[in-house]
Amino acid sequence: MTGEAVPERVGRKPALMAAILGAVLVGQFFHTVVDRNRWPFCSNNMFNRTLPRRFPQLRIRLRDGDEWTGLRQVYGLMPLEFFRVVDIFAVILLENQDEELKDRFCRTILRRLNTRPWAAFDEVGRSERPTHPRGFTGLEVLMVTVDVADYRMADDGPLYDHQVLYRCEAD
Amino acid sequence: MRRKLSDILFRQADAADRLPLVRVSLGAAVLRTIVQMPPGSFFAEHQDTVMAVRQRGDRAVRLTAFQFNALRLLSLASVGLWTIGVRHAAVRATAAASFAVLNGYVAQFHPRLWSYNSHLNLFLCAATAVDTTKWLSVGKRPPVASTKDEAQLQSLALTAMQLGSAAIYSQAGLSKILHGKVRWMSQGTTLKGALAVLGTPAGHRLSANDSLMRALSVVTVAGEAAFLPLLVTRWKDRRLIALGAIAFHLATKRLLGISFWHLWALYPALFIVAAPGGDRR
Repeated sequence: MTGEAVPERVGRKPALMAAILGAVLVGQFFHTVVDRNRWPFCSNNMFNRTLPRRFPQLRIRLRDGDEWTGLRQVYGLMPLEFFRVVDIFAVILLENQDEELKDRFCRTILRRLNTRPWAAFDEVGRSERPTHPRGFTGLEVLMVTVDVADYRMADDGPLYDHQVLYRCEAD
Repeated sequence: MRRKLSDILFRQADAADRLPLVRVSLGAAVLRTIVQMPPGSFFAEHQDTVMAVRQRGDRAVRLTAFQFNALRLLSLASVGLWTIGVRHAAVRATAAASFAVLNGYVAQFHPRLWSYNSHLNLFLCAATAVDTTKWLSVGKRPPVASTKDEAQLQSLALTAMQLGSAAIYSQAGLSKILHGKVRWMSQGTTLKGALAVLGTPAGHRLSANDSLMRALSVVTVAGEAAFLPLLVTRWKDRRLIALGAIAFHLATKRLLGISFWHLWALYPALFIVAAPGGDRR
């Protein structure tokens, strides 16, 4: 920067590029206002809704060989960021009405868990690992309600209003 | 103000010296992002499940596992070469284009939510459009006369990444104001719920304090929304502002477990580390 000196004139190409930068920034804020993401434009709307004190959450149970596990988070079922996993499960099991697709989805999830586990990274959860030689043979997805007034992270409870959304058994 | 904005956009004296640092840190962040992507087989096996239920009218490309992995390799190679300072136009264009297709594909897998890292694509486009090899580069650098236009473009590329980073915070704050409304701050329940359910043990403990949750909610929204105007109006304090942003991310990581590393990892190069020719005005 040149202080009090008269600055050099801005060239045509830099001026054009600056206009493009301005347009991109306007595009970004437009997507914030309409609350929509359209890659590569991002609304950056993380955590922008006001949560009530009680809100629904997904939980799963896996059948490890012949035994069903306790309730677990859904995060370790896909090698994606935890919030994407939750939303994908909501779309497939709540919004989609195609039962055959739901079944195919759950079987695909189980197959990868049993054959190609993955490590945790950043917001991606570590894959659920079976302990039985036959691997995971079933998946149950539930909707539960969390009340932040009494929720304990240590034992993931209490959870209210259990509702089974889908149950798939691979054998 | 107009003169100040023009100076920020076109006349950052340390741009040519700062850009090599930015190139290395941005390249490293992009490479790490590519390495951590799920394998091509994952996307391929969900083409008839997740990709089949995307919004109507969606005509996105579907890649086989081989195609995805090949694209990933191409992106790794070209971004890697650019990061170490290979300045050939074909390398720069391939790096920006291949990462755009690759990261866009990962986002389109489930377009309603994605990793919110498309700033890496926008920044890579800006950084590969100019020469970033004044130093920190491999091979013999041919003498290049820095024209007035090139110097202004280098400054503009740097500014695009600096203001682009700041805009993310202001968008996040604005989004909470517009869509969470005043009760987002007055109730503090979003922060409380997020810390209680998603948070680390330290975050979970803090979530029990309702007054603190309300106060932190107000501070978060105010700090986020004010970020872009604050950076522009207090440009000489940009190093301090960037340090504050890093502190915010570290606190978020400590309490909520969310790092957003692919943004703040660029701040030392973009704002903090002193580069030759730089000023603090």
